[in-house]
Amino acid sequence: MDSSNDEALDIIITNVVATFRTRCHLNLRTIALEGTNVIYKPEVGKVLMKLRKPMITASIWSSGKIICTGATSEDEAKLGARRLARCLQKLGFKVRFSAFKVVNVLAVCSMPFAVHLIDFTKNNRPIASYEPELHPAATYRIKNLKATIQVFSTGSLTVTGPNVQNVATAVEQVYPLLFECQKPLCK
Amino acid sequence: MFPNGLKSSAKLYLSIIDDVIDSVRELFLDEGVEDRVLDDLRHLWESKVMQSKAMEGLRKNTNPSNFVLQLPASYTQTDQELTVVIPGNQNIRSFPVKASTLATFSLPAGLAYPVQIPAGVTLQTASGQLYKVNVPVVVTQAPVGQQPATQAMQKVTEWREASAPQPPAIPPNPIPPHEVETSSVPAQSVTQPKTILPSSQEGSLPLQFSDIVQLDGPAGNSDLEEEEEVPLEENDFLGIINAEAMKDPLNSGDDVIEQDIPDLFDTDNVIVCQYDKIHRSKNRWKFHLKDGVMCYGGRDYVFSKAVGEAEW
Repeated sequence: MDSSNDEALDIIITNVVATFRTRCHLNLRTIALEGTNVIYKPEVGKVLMKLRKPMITASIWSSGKIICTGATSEDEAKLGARRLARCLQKLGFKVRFSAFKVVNVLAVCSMPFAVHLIDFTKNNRPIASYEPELHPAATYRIKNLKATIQVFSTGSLTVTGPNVQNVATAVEQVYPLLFECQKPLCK
Repeated sequence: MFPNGLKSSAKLYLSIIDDVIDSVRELFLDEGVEDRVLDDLRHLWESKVMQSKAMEGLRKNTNPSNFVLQLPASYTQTDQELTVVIPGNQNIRSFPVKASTLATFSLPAGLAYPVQIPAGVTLQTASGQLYKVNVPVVVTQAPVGQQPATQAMQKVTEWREASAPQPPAIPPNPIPPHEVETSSVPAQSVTQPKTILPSSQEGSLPLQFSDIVQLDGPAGNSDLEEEEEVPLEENDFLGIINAEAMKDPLNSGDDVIEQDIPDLFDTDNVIVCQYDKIHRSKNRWKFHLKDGVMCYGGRDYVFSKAVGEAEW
């Protein structure tokens, strides 16, 4: 597509988080008592509802805000959110599905080579930071994409970003920088 | 394990019934209600509890200490003066008994076979079913894997005509009870020897056993609620998701995907209890429960502590 390198890296999306609103107050007790597959957490003031297909977990607040986690794609997140809204509608609430937004996408990716983190950090200050005593991975933040990449010395990456496109772009951006600091080559 | 649990829960229920009835006796009298009404209430209550138990009991006859109650052909002792060899409780209530059913009983294990049971005794099976013995019987140990059902039924019907001589299905050899496991005796019937009957009783004898209420049959076992194994069958029908018009795409049912939510699984398996701790990791659940009653497979199990694990 818009990539300069032509490698085929498998970027696997592991988690998509989305929020939406029901535009109406939700009685958590009713949901907890009459809903199926629900966990009531009165101490925090929310109800978790789990769906099997798609496999998602939703946190439901009484204000009508719902956060939907666990989906493996943006479409799945939307589908799950709508199914959930349908569930709530069936429970008797005047639900209106609105303000659906994917807020976070988490993906993992594996480089075919190991990475020398110290060199990588040195070459990419200040965008990259590495504190081995705190965390074994180097963190690379791409401001304009609002994406964060964690690079492990094995060559594995985890990428988080606001949507799938950004995540893919971020991986493409960081690839050449990592390539430079391959372990067998550098040092 | 099963019958023991049943017995103790039967005892528990009976003791609860006793307790309640005794406590309200005074109140009833104060209100001017007759004692007879109280007794009626008690009997009604007991019979209802017993009935539900009876269902459970008849369904699973896998008690290894059960044996087949049969009357040996060589039984010649028609006189009374049969000593009651059975120790243990004898219930007062009598229960209608059907000829076509085979009774499996569990008598105390230390009993030496054959056991003589005189007429008029009411026996209770491990499953709670009550049988009144109208004819003196001798209980012998049946060998393993015996299926006397059809043969016995034929024998009973033949008996009604009072014609053919009937060899017993089993020679009455006393076998130590521990060594025999008559685990799966599904059908129930009673065989009767010919010599035991004085002429007058011949016709009536089969009738005595002719109305055992057999409450077999599945009672719609749905999956256990406790384990939360209920498959949530969602419809694969995906309606087409319209592109957002951010404002309000869920136009009440139009765009919305219909899903097949199973009605809260009208399951018969329920646990009513208190919890000590319930824990979940991803989809693995662990339960520490206390003071409860579980109704599973039609049977009641009362517990003071229960631990469970489940995957959702």
